[in-house]
Amino acid sequence: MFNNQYDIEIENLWWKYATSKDWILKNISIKIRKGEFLGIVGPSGAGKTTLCLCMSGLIPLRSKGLMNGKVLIKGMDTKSISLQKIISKVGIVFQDPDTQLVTMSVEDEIAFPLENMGFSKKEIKERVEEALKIVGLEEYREKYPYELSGGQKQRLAIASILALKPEILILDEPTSDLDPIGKKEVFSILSKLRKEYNATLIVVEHNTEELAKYANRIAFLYNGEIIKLDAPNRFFKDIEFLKEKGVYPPQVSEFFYYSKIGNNENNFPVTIEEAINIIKKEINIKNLKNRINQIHNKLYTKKNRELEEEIINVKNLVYEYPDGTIALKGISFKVHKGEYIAIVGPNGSGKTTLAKILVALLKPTNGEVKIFGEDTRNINVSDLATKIGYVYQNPDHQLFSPTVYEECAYGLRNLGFNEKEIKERIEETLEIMGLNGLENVEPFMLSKGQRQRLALAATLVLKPEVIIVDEPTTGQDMKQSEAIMELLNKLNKDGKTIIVITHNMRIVAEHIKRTIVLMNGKIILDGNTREVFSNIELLEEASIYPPQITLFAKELINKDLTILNTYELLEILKLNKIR
Amino acid sequence: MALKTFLTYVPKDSKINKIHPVVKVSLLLSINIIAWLIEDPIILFLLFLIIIFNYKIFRIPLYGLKKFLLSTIIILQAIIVSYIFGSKIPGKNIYLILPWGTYVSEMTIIYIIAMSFRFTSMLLGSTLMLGTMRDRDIIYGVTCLHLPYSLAFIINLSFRNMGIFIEDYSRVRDAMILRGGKFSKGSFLEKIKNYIYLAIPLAILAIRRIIEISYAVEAKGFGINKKRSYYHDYSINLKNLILTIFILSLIPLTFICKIYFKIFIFPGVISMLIK
Repeated sequence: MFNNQYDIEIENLWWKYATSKDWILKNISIKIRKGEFLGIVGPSGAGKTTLCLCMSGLIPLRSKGLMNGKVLIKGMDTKSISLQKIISKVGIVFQDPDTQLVTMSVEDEIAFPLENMGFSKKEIKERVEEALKIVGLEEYREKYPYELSGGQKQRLAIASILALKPEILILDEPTSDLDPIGKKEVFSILSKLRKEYNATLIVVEHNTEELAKYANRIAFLYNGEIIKLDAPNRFFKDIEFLKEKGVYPPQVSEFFYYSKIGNNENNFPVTIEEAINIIKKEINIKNLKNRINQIHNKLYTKKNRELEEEIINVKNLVYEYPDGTIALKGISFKVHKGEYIAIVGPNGSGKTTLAKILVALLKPTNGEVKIFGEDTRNINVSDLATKIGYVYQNPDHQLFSPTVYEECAYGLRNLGFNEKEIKERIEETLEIMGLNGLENVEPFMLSKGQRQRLALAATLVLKPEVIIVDEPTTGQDMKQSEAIMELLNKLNKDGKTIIVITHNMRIVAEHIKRTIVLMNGKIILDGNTREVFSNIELLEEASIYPPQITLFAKELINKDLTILNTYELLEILKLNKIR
Repeated sequence: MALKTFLTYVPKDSKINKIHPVVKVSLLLSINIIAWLIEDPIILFLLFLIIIFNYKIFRIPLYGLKKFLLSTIIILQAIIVSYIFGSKIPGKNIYLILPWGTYVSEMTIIYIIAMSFRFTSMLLGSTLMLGTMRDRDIIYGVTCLHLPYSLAFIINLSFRNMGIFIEDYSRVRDAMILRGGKFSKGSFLEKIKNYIYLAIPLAILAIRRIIEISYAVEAKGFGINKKRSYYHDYSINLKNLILTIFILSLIPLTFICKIYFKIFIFPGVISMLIK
């Protein structure tokens, strides 16, 4: 009997694809109320996307495999109804906006599902207008979707599903590929949908800090099973458990867990506001004034490592694309041997263009870039292979060999190394990267985390002095992200110069010493990461938001105090890690 | 200000942007079919000149098309080699007889020239059209010709993904170059090996994208209803309709001229000069 209290009911669901050996989903049971916001977290490969496909009816209606148990959408069993019926009830938005946009204008994109369903022209027009208004894209109606920013594209993908007026909206990692402002845009739309339209929202997300703000409940999917399901305040209480299983808890929750402050079973803080309310009752900040000043001075007077020789010199660099877009507008900076640098900024700020110029894939339009004293205009890209390596965001763009061994050997053979030396270098590098034993495996059979490590290994094996890594943690769970960052830290300690392009401010704050902020092709901040994160107003202009713990400390203690991680705050408040 | 097309950027005020999509699609079809039908080297040379002239008129920047034009040179090399070593075209003078029985006469050389103009015209013509078209041109063009929407949609998706494919191609190629891979220098075998390596990630990325796109369009109801409605009117005005009919009618006209009037066949006008 259908209980209209629930929009989705899943009972003992087991699923495996026709091509998979093991069950992808194992005995999943969950009931989702009308108007509920359910967050789903879990490490890579846990089965999150498969669960979304089951809840949207695409599994089993459009995927071959074996299904036990049942999924009821508004009381209708997905095994026995048509996709046409489900589409008007459930909409699904995927991670990559580019693969979801199939037409030539914003307006057409929203009209596309309505045309497919055979709506009248009048109704299409009305629904297009309404959807455009909800996502705030009215002024872009004529624009080519691929010319929109990442956040706008994802808002458009949401709008084109909303046009069908589904009561349930499923979003599978909708912000993974977006810059900070894009993430904010998507979450503000979700918040609006919930408040104004009472939509049922199911959101898969790695960003637990945003989820914690909005979700009623969070489900932890691990290895195909829901191993935890609770309200955010209870869900994030078990910090060690979450971290061990590969999920980043909100930083304020982590702080409270380790400090043991306000250890209330049902009121564990997950947002800055909640945290401030609780901590102010427990600690008198004024009593700690002297200690705070002392630590403040200590943090700011930490001696920087003496700069070694200059290896990159960028002077008044201008780069203009063939369509006339000026990506870089006269930037200048120097990089010294052994530095660890983050390049941050919104999408389109020029980060990737800069990286391509540094490896000589692009030549400056004006200005000068010198790598190890040589002008990049006179350097052949392949001649730079042993000096500067570039690891892409998507490992699949740089793995092309039949085996892991051959992948690593490719560059070495091109550079004329003998087979003995090649073997030695590969063994050494695979050992460092934790890929030993996989020499004969096809790169595309590896997990995403392993592929990312292999891409890094294939660059590292050439022993370049400088390594540029583009978005190393995008789409990775906490364990994988931490593993990659630890590896980069180790390489830096060993004397390599590391440049990381990223949107992830948490990893910048926790690991990287110098930060360069790009906006509209110009450098607006360049310095010690702590100093950069002190300039909140300027960062906001570039749509960059420091980590939650940094904002929490500024709100709690002093706007001039910039702490970079949970442990610094614990130290300041004399709350050394208790557990 | 320039507009992004499938292959390059075209100035927004270029005259090509004022041409109706159906005319562009018809031109793309006609150039290729007509060039395929014609064998007369002089006529093919004239067709080649017209196409080059259009590059100038429509202000298509050649720098953006460099990598596509390079493929024309590779194909020309292949044509020359295959006819020199593998044809038997009778002529007055035989310059070279090869051990396997093929030979090179003055007519072989003229035929090579004709075929070079044919393939160059087809490639440059297609590059010209694709270098001036956006994907909306394809969809409007095909729909105006009353071809099924699904066909227009698939063509549109293929062309759109061609852009993504080219982007993937550049990224993978760059990744190989960054690790010392050589595409312009190096031995022939080395180049072939690099291109085989390049094909692996491209195929895998394409398959992954196809799966993602198919889920996305099915979630938007594509192919669910037999009858589809349309948000826009795909109407075409009389002037463009006449122009389209004229362009498309050149195809049967060329065919009739070739079959019934023996015009455009090899060696064509040049035979009079030889006599």
